[in-house]
Amino acid sequence: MLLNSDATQCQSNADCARFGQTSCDMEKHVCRAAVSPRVDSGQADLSAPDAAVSCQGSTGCFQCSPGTDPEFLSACTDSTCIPFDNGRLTNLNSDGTLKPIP
Amino acid sequence: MERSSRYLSSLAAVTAFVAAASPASVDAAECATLPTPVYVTGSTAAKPLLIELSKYLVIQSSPITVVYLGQGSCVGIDAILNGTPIQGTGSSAPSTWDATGAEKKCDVTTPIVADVGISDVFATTCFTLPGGVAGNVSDFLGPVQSMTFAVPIGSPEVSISAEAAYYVYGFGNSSGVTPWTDETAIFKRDVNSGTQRMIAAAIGVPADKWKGTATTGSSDLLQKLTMASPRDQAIGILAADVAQDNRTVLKILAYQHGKQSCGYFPDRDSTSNEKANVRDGHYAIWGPLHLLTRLDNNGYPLKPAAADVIGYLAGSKTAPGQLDLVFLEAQRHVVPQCAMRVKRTQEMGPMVPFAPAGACGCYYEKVANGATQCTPCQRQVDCPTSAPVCSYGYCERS
Repeated sequence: MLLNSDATQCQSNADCARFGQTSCDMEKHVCRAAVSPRVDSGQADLSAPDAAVSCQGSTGCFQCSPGTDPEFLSACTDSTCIPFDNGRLTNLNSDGTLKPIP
Repeated sequence: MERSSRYLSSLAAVTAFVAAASPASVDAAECATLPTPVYVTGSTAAKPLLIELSKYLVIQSSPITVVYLGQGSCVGIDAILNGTPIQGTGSSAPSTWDATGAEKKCDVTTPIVADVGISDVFATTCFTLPGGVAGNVSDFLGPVQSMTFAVPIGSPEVSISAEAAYYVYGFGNSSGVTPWTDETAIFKRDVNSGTQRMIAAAIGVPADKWKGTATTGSSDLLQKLTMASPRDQAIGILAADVAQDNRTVLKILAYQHGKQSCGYFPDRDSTSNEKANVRDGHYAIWGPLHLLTRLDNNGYPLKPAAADVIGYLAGSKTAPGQLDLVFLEAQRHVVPQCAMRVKRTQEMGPMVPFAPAGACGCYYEKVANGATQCTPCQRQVDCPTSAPVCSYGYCERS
């Protein structure tokens, strides 16, 4: 479902927030309804109509076409990833925030 | 015994690298007497790429001699923005390379303003420039460089988060992040280093507030890092091109950026070379190489040969002879713009999708890893609808 034909409607998904669950088509710069991606190709298909709205994969990764930093950083991938346990940080403030640089 | 043997092999490898990076000066000529010298100064991390390009330029029918003085990215920017001249003789003389890549020194006895300032970071990362760079200076974007955290090969550590790095480099001995709690084994560069400036922007520790042991350049840091004792407590920062050339003696750590739940290598895994995670935005610490030069009144680089060097590195000028720039850049572990799927316009700024004209991601992967899963093609009709563009011999998405 194309929500608006204004060719300069958006530069990122954040610009589409006013339309609810939509994301920015980065080629045409218009907001489209967010839909579930095709699972056969591994590529998000934001042009498919009337599909579910979740872009969250089973592992919590982002499985639509990424357009913002959080989406790029968490996009589904077959790359090796190795978590760092931030529980190893022993010099945090009592509320868990970072101390200022001395 | 096996461990000792491996350590000695590592030692030999580092010694060889450092020796190659610091040749003795023999029969140094005046740089100005060499064929069409182009004076380049700045990033030490960019040196390996310049060597490869220089090997080809020096044997062309109209040869160009790249005269290079590595001083750090911010010094390279200063050289162009402020016209700070370079000078050097003997052991501090600039370098040139012959067709085999052998390094030679040449003297600059009379100070001269460099033609190209080469930097791993944006000019605004080094200097406060409210209006951007001056109108008579242009900043051309070259291949993408990624910066890494590295530990000696024997270290048990495999990843680091932005928050952990914040404490390691912001607090040093008091980091509270075991095992990186000894500043003598925490190696940094200096405030003029693009590597340190870019990582500083990523982890939120101002470049002039870093704790740790200072080093004079990439090769010095590499040597100190790999010779550190005890090795388990050692950590350093290196551009990926230097780090990946030394995988036998060090390990690149997977990096987990703020808000990420997992750390990634620049490459798909710890042994591959295709920079998949840089190209698609999973690995956060990257930026384009910057090639600054002064312009004439018509907006062209003052020295035509400098424009050629910049054009080759930026991918905007057809490479001479048999030079395959994508192949060369893959060898040097940097990513040509045509292989990127994201771009940035400021240091560690937001990433946006990028669809380069003449995409070369598949070909880059092929030459970097020796294989690609992309569909080979000769014409557009050979390609599936999911990757409809035939470019560099492979079907690309766009």
